[in-house]
Amino acid sequence: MSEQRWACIERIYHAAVELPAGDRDAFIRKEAGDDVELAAEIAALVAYDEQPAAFMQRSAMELAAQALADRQDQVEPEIGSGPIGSYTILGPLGAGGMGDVYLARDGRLARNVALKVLRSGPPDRDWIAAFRQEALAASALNHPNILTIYEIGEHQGTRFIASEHVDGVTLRERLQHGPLPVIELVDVAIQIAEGLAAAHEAGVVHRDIKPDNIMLRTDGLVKILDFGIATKTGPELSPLAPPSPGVDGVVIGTTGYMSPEQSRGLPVDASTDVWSLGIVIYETATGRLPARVTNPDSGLSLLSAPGFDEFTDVTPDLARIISRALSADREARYPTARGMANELRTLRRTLEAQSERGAGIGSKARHHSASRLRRGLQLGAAALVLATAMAYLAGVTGRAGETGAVTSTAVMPLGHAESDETRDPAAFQLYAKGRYHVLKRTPDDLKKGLEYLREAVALDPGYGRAHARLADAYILQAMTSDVAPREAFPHARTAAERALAINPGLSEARVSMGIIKFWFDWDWSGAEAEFRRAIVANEPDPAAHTFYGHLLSNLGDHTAALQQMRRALDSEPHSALTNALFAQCLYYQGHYDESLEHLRKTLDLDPSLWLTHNMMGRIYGLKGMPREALRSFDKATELGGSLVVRAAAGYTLASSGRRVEARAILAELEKRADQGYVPPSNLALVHLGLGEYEQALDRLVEAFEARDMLLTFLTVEPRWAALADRPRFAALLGKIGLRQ
Amino acid sequence: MQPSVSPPVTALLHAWSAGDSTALDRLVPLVHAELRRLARRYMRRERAGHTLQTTALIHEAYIRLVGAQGVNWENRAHFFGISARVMRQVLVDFARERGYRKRGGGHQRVPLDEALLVAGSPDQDVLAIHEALLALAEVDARKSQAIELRFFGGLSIQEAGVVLGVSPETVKRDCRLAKAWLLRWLTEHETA
Repeated sequence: MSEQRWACIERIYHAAVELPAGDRDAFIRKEAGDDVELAAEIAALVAYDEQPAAFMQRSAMELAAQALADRQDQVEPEIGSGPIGSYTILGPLGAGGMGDVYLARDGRLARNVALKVLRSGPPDRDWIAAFRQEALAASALNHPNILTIYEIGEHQGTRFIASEHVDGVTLRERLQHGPLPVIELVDVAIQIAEGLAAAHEAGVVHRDIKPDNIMLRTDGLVKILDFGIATKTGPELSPLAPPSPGVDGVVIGTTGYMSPEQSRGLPVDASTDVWSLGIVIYETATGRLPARVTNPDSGLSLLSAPGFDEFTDVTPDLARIISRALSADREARYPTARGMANELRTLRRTLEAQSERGAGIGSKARHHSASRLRRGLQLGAAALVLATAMAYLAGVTGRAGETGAVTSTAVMPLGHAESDETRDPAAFQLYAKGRYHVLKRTPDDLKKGLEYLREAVALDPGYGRAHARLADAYILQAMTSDVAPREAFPHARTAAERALAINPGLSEARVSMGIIKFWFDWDWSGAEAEFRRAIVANEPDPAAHTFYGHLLSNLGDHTAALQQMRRALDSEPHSALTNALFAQCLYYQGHYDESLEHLRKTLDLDPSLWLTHNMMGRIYGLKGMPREALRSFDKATELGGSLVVRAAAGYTLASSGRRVEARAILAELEKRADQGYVPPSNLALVHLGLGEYEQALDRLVEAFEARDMLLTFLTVEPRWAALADRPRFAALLGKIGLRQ
Repeated sequence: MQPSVSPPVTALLHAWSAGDSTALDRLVPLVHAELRRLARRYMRRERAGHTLQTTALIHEAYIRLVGAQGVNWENRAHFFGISARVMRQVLVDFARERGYRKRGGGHQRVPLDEALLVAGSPDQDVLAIHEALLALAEVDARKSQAIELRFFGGLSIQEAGVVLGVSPETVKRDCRLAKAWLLRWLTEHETA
């Protein structure tokens, strides 16, 4: 019916029903004119109006309410009603296939948790036991990329799972903004693979890897959800259309994430997760699922989807990794996610190197991800609208687990921003770029990172997290010895103070302030107070525990130091940085073999951290193994180690009799000191190795003037022991506030 | 303990009215769950009595999910609109399930008076009304929605007017014509 005709019916109808019943027909005929059909239709409608209709007089609400109330499929927790066990429901977070998820407060531990309340089936005591086994097995891995499950239980017939509450979005939600830029995608993929690898090594298979089960925390950390759930409750089978009979190579279309063997109901092992992760990476890169093609002989196998060729051109290595993961023959896949994680890691290094060289495939890749990034920026405006939609996803974000391994994030912590977040997408973009560079920690990256972060806080001076990151970057500049402490630390202090003025509870700024007081002010009790506050605000805060541990270690309280270091390690057992710093504490206590053992394990976690090699070199040197020591120092330098590594090599050369080479390093350091800042303690160390104690002490006095932060290690670093009985050394320690 | 409750739904309502269609997918389960919780409580409280204050149901769900402060008429209207849709879907699912159970499968009409007395005419059933509304929506979406709001959402003439952005008088006229149209459609399809 045309709109015009309907409008006509409407007009005549309303006029007609106002008339006495007897006059209506005549009126309609007159109004409809020649159009007999129109007149008949209106007359029919008017006739129904005349029925003494109780029709729809009463609302169906009562029936609907009754229907709702009678549904027995789930026990509903009520907001604000009695707690479920020790959990008080605060509000809904979402609804999933297995049940609804609520934000809840754990009264015992005063922390917020995500509480998944499961649809109840028949009473099943075994359920908890069965479920516990696998879900807890995965959770017990305590891996940063696996969501921690706190409790699985039942309360008055309601079955629930309490887990860590993650502030972030699922990969599914993130994908609604389009595919991820390659470098970011690789970062996310590495983290998923790491989490899965840890699970696989513990004999746990996830079985339901898909974007909905991947959470991207606002700080860039990736968490795998729903471990072990798929097994015990049956996977929510993604609909896999039956193949059309009799046609070869039929494209079935959208398929799920299940491996061929899984979708056929065959037994599965870790390689099924590898397949699913392959699909997830593919989708994350292209925004599409690959089509699957059936072949009557080989069953299901992967195939192509539009865009895969283009993608293959741009990042052939990634395409190769995906292809291997998606081998129909499971023997041809990576046996566990570990192999995949390793190759992804290598790929990331290649991509980073390429983007720095800006040549060949790299430039293409960069162009590719740049165009994606542009798209991402355009989405920035949309993100602001969405901001409110995701409001509840924002919230307090920790920065636990942040090491060099997390290099990128572009998930804006949207919405009713915490006071330390920003609402300005441009400021956020600048922050994200700045953070990306800062985490790479090379002098050039730190410079770039600082530029972006300064722009971010210029755009939004109330952006607390950006101020905090800025403080962090200045401190890192001082740590990498690229900038003199007297230059870097005052900036760091200003930035940290601004961040804390915006939000006194911002633990990363608190930690930065602690480091400034520790390394620059040499104000031990002040630093201690800051670290303690950070820990109270954000327990466990690995950074705070680590630096507090080092402070205690430098002050000679080894027991307390190790206690703090262990807490840091407990909260991020897979961070190479935390492990290396833990080993450093062992070294300062004279436990060389233990330290070395720990460093070797750290290398397995991440062979690319220069700090680990540097520490190993120092220990080999002290153990009288100069050859091994020098090899480690070379490796550390190759990986971007700072001048302290050169100085350590100089010391080792000198003390093993290779004085000429040691002098060459000394000359090299002196030359660099003319051009820029070289920590005077580095020069002192080489003099020390050469047995030139007075010159070493002269340099240490210079170091004191420059507030060289390495002086805080004077009493624990065994190499300085040679100076212990010299009065100038004792006087220096006194001025720094250290006791022998 | 309420503050953390309100933001998601409010934010999703904003997002949806700003054109983000995915927000609706996330809203519906939340609204559905809350309505179900409340319905269950209402039933417990009022089963012994007689009248069920069903219209209060959506209002209470709104206050609980969105919060009483800063009541925004537009939000409220969107929320009521969603709630009415949820209620309609609940009834349709309910009717389909009943039909399924009774016949051991297959589509079967469920007279409303059997389920519960709702409509005056015993011949009309939930699924038929649902289908008739779908047909009406093809002709005139606003009238179909007016009925949905009034009949399934329990909204008053005034409230439905706010949701639809028209005067109460228009809602009345819309409903009057829509009812006649639906009755005619139902009669014509009765034998089907």
